[in-house]
Amino acid sequence: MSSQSSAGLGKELPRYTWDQVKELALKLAYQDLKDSPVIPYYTNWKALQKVETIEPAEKTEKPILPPGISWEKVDVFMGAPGDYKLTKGKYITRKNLTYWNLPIDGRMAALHALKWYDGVAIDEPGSYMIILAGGEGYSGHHVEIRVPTGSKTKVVVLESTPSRGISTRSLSVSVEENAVLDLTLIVADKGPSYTTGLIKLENSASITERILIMPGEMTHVKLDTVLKGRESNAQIRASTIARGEVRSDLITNTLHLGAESAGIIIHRGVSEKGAFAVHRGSARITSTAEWSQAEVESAFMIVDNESTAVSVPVLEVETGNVKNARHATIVAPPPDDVLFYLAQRGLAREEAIKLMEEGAISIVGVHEALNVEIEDFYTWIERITGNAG
Amino acid sequence: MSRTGVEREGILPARMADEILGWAKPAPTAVEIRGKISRSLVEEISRIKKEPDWMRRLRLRALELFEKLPTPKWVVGIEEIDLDDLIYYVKPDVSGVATSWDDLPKEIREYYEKLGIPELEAKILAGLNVQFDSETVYHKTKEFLEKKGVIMLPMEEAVRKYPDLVKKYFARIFPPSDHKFAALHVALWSGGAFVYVPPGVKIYEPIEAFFLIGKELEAQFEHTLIVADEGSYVHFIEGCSAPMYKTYSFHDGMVELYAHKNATIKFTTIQNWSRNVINFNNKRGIAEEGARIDWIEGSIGSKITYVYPSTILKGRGSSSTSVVVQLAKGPYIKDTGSKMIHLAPETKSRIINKSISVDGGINIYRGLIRIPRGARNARSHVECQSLILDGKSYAYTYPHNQVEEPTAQVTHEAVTGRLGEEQLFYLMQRGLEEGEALSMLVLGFLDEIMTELPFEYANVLRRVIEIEFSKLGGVG
Repeated sequence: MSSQSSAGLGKELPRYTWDQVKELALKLAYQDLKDSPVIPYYTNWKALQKVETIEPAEKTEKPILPPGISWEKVDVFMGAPGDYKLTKGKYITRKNLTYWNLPIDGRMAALHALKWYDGVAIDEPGSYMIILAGGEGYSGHHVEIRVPTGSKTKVVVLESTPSRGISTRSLSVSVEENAVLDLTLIVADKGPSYTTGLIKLENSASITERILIMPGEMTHVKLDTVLKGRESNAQIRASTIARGEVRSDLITNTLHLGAESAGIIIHRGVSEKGAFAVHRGSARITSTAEWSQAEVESAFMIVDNESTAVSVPVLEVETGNVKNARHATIVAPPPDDVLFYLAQRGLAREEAIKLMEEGAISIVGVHEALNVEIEDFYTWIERITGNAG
Repeated sequence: MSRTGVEREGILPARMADEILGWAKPAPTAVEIRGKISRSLVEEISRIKKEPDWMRRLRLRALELFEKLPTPKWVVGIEEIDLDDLIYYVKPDVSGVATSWDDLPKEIREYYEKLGIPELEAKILAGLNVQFDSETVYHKTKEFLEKKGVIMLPMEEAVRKYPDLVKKYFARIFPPSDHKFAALHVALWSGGAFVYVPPGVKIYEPIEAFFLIGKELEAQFEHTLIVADEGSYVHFIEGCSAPMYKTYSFHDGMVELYAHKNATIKFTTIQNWSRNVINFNNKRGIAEEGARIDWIEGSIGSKITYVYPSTILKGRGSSSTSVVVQLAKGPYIKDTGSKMIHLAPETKSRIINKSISVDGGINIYRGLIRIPRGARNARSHVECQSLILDGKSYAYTYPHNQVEEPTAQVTHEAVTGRLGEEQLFYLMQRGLEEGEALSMLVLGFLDEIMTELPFEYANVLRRVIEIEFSKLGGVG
């Protein structure tokens, strides 16, 4: 029904042979349907299109790590082709995969499936710190996570290419029955980047997703969470901090297939200094997902008159037996009453806005996943987004 | 009960169009043009209408656009329309535009009598334009309209009598370049009404245009243009209906509204097409400084409906509301929504959309709020509420909120749910049949919107819902 809706995922989850992927890479457009009459494409596909011709990066540029992550603590590091280091998990390439199990909803998804070179597979319960980096040129990585029945796993993924190279990445996640996954995804690329992810939850499985986007030239992140099992549960919290001449398109979709499943998407975003930031959050409750509940909540703050924020909350309900399905969004400036309150306490507008931004990030809880104070984590964000000093 | 055998609510029959009008009956036809859309087909329509050259050229430019523009990919079900197999122009065999119902052929008059239109005209309307197939067959305005300087004419007559006035607005508010079906409309338009309200004139009695498609495989392209000059007020009602056919018919109408400084246009649509009509309606308004445009739509019938009323808030302090209530009962689709484009400071918009899906019905809401830089302190609020009454019906909501202005605020909320079991149980415990309880709860859900509809139509809609839902004992 829509260009965004659940990645065109049906009740059958994707499974492509490599020949099919090659065919799709030639056949598909980057995007078939326009997003809206006035802004036709939220993702600037032209910026990402360079992936067709660009050579792989020759050298990795190491990212600036956030507090709570040190190089000693990193379990998986992947950069330019052949530059990888693993202390946990299993190294994989395309040759290890008989099928490609992620959605191919456009040419970019197919090109990524064909171009990524280094990957990691995780299937032991535990805690993992993964860094996916790149350099001048192309870098492409793939992460597979399986959380076995009844176990718990915590994964932090930092995707960061400090240079203007192009990066593509994918996450394929399977959370088995009664298993729990705590997944944190931080995306901080300077150049164009494309991330796609498919998360499958079996019966009574649950996931907490914490997503932080600090966009670069064009950052496209799309995560589809499929609540396949009965009573599966997804708590998705995301934040976009878009500053400067950057563009982001964050898409968080939930697809409810299992009965009595519950999914909540909460997004907080800031767009300032000429940024163009989009959040699309969709919830689809299919006819098999009776008595499920789905919520999408998004708040975008526009700080100045050079910036743009777009909020697209989609609700698709295909059964009358629904427990709760709702969405609410707001796109607004910093609230006057809050600014006034803080001004009365001696805070200038800029300081007050920083405080509100800190609040928006703290709701997502990435700092909690890294076991650091919000102030320290915010300082790192300021540095990465060029707001420091 | 009336003499037509259909239950009435006041003066209007309270049923779906199929039940009121039954099967299509042959009506006398003077001219019929069918076949592939071409330059000669367009020129033939223009020739029959004895149009000025500027209109003929406008049609031909639109035809070129139609040929160039792609078929919109986002519309579901449009592939059912075979554009090479439609009747594009049907001139009923009548001697000019009637001003008395008795002057209409019986076969045509009966349709409108069954719909209660003559009685409605006598009771509440200041003016009425009635279209059958491609042409206006009846047109009458009350004397006071003329005295106040209001121009209300069939569209063709306005093109001939007031070319400069019409030319200024026609296909400029909704340009044919917008999409393929807008281009098709401008190339083939026929019928519709033109209304001009002079500065300061306020017309509180509604004016109505009623459109009826009498034949299967017929395409209707009426064009409605309303211009409210400075400080004026007008309420226009658009009604549409059709009998049943074995195949389908296609409606591709256009409504253009222009509200000058401090003027108000209230535009109400009561859509009760039969369930064989594929209904595409292009609606757009422009509001100047301090002006207001209100769209109110009760969407009951049709096989598929695509309607997205939109307002361009061009002047400072202008405002617009779009209130839509839609029912998709059975294997039918309602693909609707509203667009509000805020181009000036202090502009306000509000969208309320309520839908009910039952018995396999599909409701889709597509919305757009656009606030570019410079529209300081613009405010917009969108509310979508969908009820799904069984396990085989659907509701989809696709809103886009695009903001570039840091002093603007857009809020949006939507909820999709079912009727509460407890409420149903409570009412049934008090002796109501399940169907009665269900219709009572549905009416409660729609109550806020009913108050926006003209009294007569609100009553009809209320009764249609009561009847349709009382048939649904056991749903939910």
